[in-house]
Amino acid sequence: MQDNPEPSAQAAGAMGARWLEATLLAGFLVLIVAFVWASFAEVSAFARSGHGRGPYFFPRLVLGVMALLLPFLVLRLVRSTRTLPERAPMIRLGAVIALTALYIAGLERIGFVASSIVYALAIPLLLGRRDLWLLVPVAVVYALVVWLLFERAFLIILPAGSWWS
Amino acid sequence: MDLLILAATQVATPLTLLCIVLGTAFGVMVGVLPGLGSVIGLTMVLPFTFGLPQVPAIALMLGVYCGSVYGGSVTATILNTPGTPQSAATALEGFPMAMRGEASRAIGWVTMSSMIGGLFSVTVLIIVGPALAKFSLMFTPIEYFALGLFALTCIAGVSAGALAKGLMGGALGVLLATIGSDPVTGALRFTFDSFMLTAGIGLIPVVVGLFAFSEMFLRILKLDEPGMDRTTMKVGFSLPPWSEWRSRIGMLVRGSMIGSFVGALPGTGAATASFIAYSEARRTSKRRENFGKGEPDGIVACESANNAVTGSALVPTLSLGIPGDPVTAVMLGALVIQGIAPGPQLFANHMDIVYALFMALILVNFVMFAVGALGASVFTRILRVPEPILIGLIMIISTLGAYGVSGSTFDVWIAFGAGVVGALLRYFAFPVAPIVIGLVLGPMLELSLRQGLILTRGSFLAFLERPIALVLFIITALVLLWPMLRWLRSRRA
Repeated sequence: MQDNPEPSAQAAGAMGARWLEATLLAGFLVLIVAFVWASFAEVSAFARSGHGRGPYFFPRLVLGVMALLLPFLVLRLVRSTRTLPERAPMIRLGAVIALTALYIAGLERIGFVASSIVYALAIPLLLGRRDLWLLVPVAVVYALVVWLLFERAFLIILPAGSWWS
Repeated sequence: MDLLILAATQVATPLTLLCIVLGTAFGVMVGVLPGLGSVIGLTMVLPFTFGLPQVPAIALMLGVYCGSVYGGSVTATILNTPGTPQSAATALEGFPMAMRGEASRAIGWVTMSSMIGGLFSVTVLIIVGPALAKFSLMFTPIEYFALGLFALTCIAGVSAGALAKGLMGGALGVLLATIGSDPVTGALRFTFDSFMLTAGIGLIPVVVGLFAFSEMFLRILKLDEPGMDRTTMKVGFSLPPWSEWRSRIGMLVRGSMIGSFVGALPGTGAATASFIAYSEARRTSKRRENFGKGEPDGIVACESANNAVTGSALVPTLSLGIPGDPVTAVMLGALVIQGIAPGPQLFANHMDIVYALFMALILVNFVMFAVGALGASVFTRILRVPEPILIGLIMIISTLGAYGVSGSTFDVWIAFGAGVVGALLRYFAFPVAPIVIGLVLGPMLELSLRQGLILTRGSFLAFLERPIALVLFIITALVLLWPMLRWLRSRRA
């Protein structure tokens, strides 16, 4: 990480952070709108009857609270001084998130053991470790021990993968 | 008496004892590693509890819970980097002691005070828990609604400096809890035509995502930062002699009492308790001039207080079914998975389980002492495990935590989504603990409100006619208005 980033880079980082936080708040707005919209779905007469109100009575109260809080968060956004992290760690983070998504998808396709070995090996490689003599045994032993413990000792069936079935 | 014997036979099995030892040792390990803490430790062992009987599963979770609180103090003492937030105050006196070559003695103070604080709080739990459960048998849904609202105020406690963000997180948690079937009529809502959402969103996948996944994601951003000194300091265990203890008994009892009281309040937690105990010790100690230079009084006060939280935090969780913080929320989730429903009925119908839990908690505190005394030097070596390797391994075991609840990869995707969103929220200083608290309290709050409305024939005003509920509503209002009143007072001053 740079010790003294350029002022223009800092300004760009601050602007980027503000945009990202604004996107997050926009996400809250979309969520509120989507749930309010869904709360007008058709409800059976039985569900609407009685003093306990219908199934959407309580969620609408909560959505009301969220809608009231949102402007406060927007006002705070204007005063935000946060900046985005440097480019390299951001790329690394994006890669780890993508790899984790692939790992979860891989659980169903190639099973827990194979996908865990690949994941336990790929993460440290991605994060800069190159000592394969250590990484490979750690990944293989860890995945196998966890699998044995769950499948054999705890009798919890882990995903076997559709390829092997 | 029969129930006591039954509980003892359940605890005295080799499997339960093994779970206590392994859980405590694992908890200490997790606590030693900075940034992980009790919630991540509990989510990591959660998948192991699925295949265990009730009592060993509870023992494992209790071991991790208590061990992680203690483990954080070891790192605070030798690295000046608290392994967990609740150990931050310990570093103020522990680290200066370690720097003058008394690390082993400091660990001795930490270990002994932790055990005594922990045992004190178990006593509080044993006395107060059943009494509170008995009292709560008088509660109707209206009182439960008032209690749920009061418990929600703990969001203010875990959202220091970011109240609006915390409240938004709490509301988000409550909203997520409404997905699935309506608790009163069974009608489906907010499923967006997805069959998988008809069962709702589970607590554990969200906890795994918000705490474990997001922590690992955020760590990646910090990998290039100058790391902490992975110390090569020789650490052992040396128990201070009785002559040094004698003058600190008062400090120990006061710290334990502060921890037990603060722990039972929603949203406060061990970090608050240890800082209150530290400042109280600093104010009242005969050796106050030594504070900041490695004074054992400070360690005794902090450690007895933060460990005294463990038992008392379980008081509302077990007797009312209302967790005060994310740690007890995960504990509650684990108990429910085991088929144990915390609340007054647990004390009324399953006293053997309650006694077994008390016994396990007592044993955990003794084992914690033994683990600390014998393994202090071993646990500090865990700090030398390279972080890139650790991140991958923690992600895998956490994935199993999300998967194992219902054996569905859909839950793992929920955890993944919660992890990405959680990392984003945490980066922008949104506290994520309120989401978990909202998710736990949401269903209880909705059910009690709507049942209460049925009882009062739709009248909200009738809620105020119940004395216990009225008192709880007033306390809730005072807690919510207190920051505003304080602000007004400071402006006037």
